[in-house]
Amino acid sequence: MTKKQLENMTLELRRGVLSLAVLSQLHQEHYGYSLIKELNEQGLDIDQGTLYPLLRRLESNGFLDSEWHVEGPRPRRYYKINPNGEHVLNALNQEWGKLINVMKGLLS
Amino acid sequence: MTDTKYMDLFERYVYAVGRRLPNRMRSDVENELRSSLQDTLEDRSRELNRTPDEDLAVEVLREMEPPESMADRYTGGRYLIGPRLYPTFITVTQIFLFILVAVHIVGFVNGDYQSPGGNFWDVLLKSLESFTSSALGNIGSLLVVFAILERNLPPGIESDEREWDPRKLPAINAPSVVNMAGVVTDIVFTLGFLVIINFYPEWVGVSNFRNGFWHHYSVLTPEFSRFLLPFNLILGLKVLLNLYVLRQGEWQTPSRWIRLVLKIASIVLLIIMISGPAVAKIPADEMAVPVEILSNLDWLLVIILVVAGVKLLQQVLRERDLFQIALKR
Repeated sequence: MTKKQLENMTLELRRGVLSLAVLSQLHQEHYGYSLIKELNEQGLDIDQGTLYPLLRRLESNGFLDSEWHVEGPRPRRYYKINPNGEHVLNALNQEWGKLINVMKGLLS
Repeated sequence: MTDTKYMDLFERYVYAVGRRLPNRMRSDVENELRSSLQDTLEDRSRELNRTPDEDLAVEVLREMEPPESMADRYTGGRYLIGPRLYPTFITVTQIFLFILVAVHIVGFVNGDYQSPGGNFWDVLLKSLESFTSSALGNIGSLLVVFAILERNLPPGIESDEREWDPRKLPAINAPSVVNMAGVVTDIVFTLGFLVIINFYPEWVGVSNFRNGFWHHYSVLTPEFSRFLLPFNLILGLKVLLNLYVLRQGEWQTPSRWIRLVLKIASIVLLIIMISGPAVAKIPADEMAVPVEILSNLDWLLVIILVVAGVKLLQQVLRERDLFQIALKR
């Protein structure tokens, strides 16, 4: 297996959990860059090219609300999870718990 | 590098992404990208204790994807016509709709949509029905052509991630930037048009469904053949110029001058065509009411002339540096 193939498989593995990770951090309002920093600090590397389109998709699916705030030198778009998103987050969280147990069993 | 200059680099990136996105999301995405790039630059500058400069701006941009891939991420990359061809598709569709509207106006005044009662609203409704079905059918064909182009065009320079160099981002509306997809599409359509006027001129006409049968009549008169040679010359040179520019990868001063000269030549040709005997006419026996002013399609050429004139003016304004170079010499 080449390094590139391994990178692609790792990316695929991570891609599935990004929505869950992003939703989990949006109980508090965040703009894109602050969310990237927050996720990075907690050990999840995510680049801007992945995060911004993901935020838009989550918003267009009705899981997030967003608002432009002008503070400091420039306007920033802030995102926050809404009740519909909370519902999805809970469901995904439960699914994630089950998946961890299944995978632990499979990999042990 | 001054603040304005590295901001310009960001603006060029934002513009390059935005022009590949559908209108509905463009300005929102552009604002968010712009704000995010500035946040990243400020943060990076603080972390590294370094004044923001071109190199730092380039580093920040390198962390982003090339504009084409970035736009792809926003659109999901599963579109029939992707961000690369989308701007050209919109332009071609607009031109096509303009022609279709003109053809239907001709049909309307020509009485192609007459109803037995002769009621104006019935006629209008029939015209709209015909317009809708023609528009849907033909835009469908355009979609197929563009979808085929989308899947067969070689990847552009910008899409090659190894080549991704933010310094090479085209300036906003820079006259030297080649819209590869646009040029290829232009070649395809120009060649198609050349084939039609040289080998199938009778296809240029109006079709309608009347009395249970499809009717088609050609509108080009024998007078049109007088202009075939200059038409072939201008359009043939245009195709050669486009092929040359595709090879060069950018519009250079000589090619830009030739493009301008060819546009002026097209306008001159149009004026000569309008001022002489009619080159396009609705046959008298197809006219509901044979009125000379309606049957002579010069008015259609006048509309095309006005549009071509406006486009030429826009190009001259956009490329005014050409004249400054010429004056300096």
